[in-house]
Amino acid sequence: MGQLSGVQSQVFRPLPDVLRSDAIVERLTTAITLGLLRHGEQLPVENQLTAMLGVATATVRDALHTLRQRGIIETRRGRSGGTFVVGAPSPEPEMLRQRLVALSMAELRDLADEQTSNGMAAVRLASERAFDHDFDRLESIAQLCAGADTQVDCMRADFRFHIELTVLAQSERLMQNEMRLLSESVEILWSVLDWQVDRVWAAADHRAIVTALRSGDVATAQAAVREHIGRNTYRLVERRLDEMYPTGKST
Amino acid sequence: MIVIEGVESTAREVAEWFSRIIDDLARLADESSAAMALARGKRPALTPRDLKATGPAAARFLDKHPEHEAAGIILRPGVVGADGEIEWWKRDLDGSLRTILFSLTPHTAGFYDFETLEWFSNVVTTGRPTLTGPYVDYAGMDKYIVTTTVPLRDGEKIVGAAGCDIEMRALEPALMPLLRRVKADVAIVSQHDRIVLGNSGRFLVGNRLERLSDACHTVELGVHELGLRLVAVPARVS
Repeated sequence: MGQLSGVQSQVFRPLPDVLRSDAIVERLTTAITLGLLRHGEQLPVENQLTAMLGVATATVRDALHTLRQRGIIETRRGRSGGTFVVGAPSPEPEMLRQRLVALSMAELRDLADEQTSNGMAAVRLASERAFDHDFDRLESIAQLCAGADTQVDCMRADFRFHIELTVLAQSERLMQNEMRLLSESVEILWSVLDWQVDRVWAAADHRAIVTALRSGDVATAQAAVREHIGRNTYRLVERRLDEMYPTGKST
Repeated sequence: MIVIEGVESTAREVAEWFSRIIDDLARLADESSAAMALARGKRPALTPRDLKATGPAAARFLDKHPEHEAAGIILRPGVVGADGEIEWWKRDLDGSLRTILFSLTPHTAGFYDFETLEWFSNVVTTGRPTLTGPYVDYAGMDKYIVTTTVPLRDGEKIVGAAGCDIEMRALEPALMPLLRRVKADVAIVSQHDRIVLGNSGRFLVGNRLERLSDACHTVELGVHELGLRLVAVPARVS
């Protein structure tokens, strides 16, 4: 792998202190699931990974070992050797449940706050900078959720919509922020939602944003972004409470 | 409409810069087609392997235009495989040439839906050179770039496009010296009224061109049908 694009350097940003090997596995799994690392792509070599992620060599080795065992990466020897992405990770409900439970109420709210502010900024800039043909394209992407027929497809369609919306802002930074925020949240979100029902809601929310943008109504588009993220956050919070405090109101 | 000194001559130089790119892309298209035909030999259809033969043509283009990030060809679905192919070459830091990976299978992670993108769709439907951007190329180069494309032909038939990408931060030093010579606020504007580059804080890259008063000097660059123009207004008095 040569130079990293801005998006990919986000994938390899330094890790927090806790559970570093698990965190590497998680981050790479998410990146592959979301297509930030593509099938066939070569990973940086071990000492590059060590430096980029800010962890010990043994930690990187541990993580790569786990990914290799799961059939997600493969290491080949020889002149054109290296470690390559070869498999698609399948969603692991238990891992996603743990990620949700690890987030406090305050952190969930904060994540939603940052997503909302990034989304509202993207909508304002898109309204200033996008053209009709951009909205045509975004509108067809907004339909993807409704037509998705697995949980993973729904999640990818949702991810895709938010990225493509941010793309219309013409800002690399906003896109990188959005990429990071979605990497943290979108898999957990769809593990909590009932995809067969909620894909319809998601698609309707996405369409509402595009419709408002197309008519040049920034305030309505921003309100739609807030409502969309608010709805998702409500569901995340409710599920987390049920998981953590099972004797609560839902029983 | 007013006349601002130096705008016409700057427009000619900017036009020449873009013309050279279109001319060399046309050469890249011809050389790539010829190289693929040679690799195919007597076989009835192209295989993905035959596309590797386009490397030397892409290398010649990139050597001549080192400010460009990548160059290559894109084949429409059906020419090689159902999803189309992108043979997009770039130089690594060590100078070696390699192709960039794209995910071209629908419903997979990071699917690059290039058929719907202007730099592809416009070229294959109209047969005309196209300049797209600046835009953030998600799932492609993942950078803020301008893409220029020309048709790629097999005989009379358009089978795809040949093109190149330039990062906005590399385009700036290539063209800004020309714009800075004009003693006025000047911008290169795309066919969709997007600012490609401006020589002052008034014209920010990627913004839509605001409605200007009549007191401006506009020159169509006339580079094929790219729709580029130069717009100049007297500098603000601060």
